[in-house]
Amino acid sequence: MKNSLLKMAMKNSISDVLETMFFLPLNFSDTVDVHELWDTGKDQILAAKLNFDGPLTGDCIFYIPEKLAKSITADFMGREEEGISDDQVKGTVKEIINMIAGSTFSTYDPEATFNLGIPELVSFNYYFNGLSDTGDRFYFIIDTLDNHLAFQLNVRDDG
Amino acid sequence: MAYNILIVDDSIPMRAVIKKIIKASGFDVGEFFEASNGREALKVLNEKWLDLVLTDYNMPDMNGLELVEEMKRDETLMSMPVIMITTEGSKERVEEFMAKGIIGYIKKPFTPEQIKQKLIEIMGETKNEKQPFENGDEELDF
Repeated sequence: MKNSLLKMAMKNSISDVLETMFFLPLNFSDTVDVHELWDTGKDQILAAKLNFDGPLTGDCIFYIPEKLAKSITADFMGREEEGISDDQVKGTVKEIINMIAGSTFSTYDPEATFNLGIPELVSFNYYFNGLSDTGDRFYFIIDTLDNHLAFQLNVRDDG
Repeated sequence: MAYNILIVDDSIPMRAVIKKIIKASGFDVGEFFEASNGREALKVLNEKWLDLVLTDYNMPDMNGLELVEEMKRDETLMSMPVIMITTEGSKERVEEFMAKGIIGYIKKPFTPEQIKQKLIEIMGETKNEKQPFENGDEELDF
């Protein structure tokens, strides 16, 4: 029950953030092999991680191809891609994971207070190897604009 | 009356978007100031009187709530209106924000209309009616 509520909260929050603020068309994918999501030899993938504690403790990680991140940053700020800096792209990616995490937990339990850490960019290769959907680890793959995003939530301790 | 506004958020794009929404909404804004955390915001506030502070909660170094607490301890800053714009949405956290003396709360993700409505409550009606958030080069994409 707890897991299904959490997954539903994650899914609704991903939709809410990416559609409301970034106008991304989304389709949750359950057919893509996680190891064939991106051509990592060709595409640079950004990974942002955020720790949390409270009634649940753990971390979440958001994966996005750098090209797509730059494109949505430009759209978000209403500027041309050529004028977008790396810091602005990283800022957008960190803001996305911050909003998805905050929305997930307030949807999951509006009465509970979760403490969110400060989002940070981490090594894609290190964390992506851990992408799985077992026990208290959940992930969603999102198809958008001919590309893929992924959001993983790992619960280490449920109080 | 032109409002001088401080936007406090560690995300550069978020500061830019909030600023853009306010400008496009037609409010009479004098100057915008920006800070990436509470500590930077206090430096700005100690140098310049501002009419409104919009701050994120979750920031490195000094978060939005700590900023409000510092402002409330300062006789000059204690009456300055603060709106919290944050992903924090639990009932307890929002009550904590309100108890500390903020005058408004906007939850991320937000729409431009939500920002505009909250500012109308505080600043009054806009001078110019520009719907839907378009103003020549200040066009918004969401």
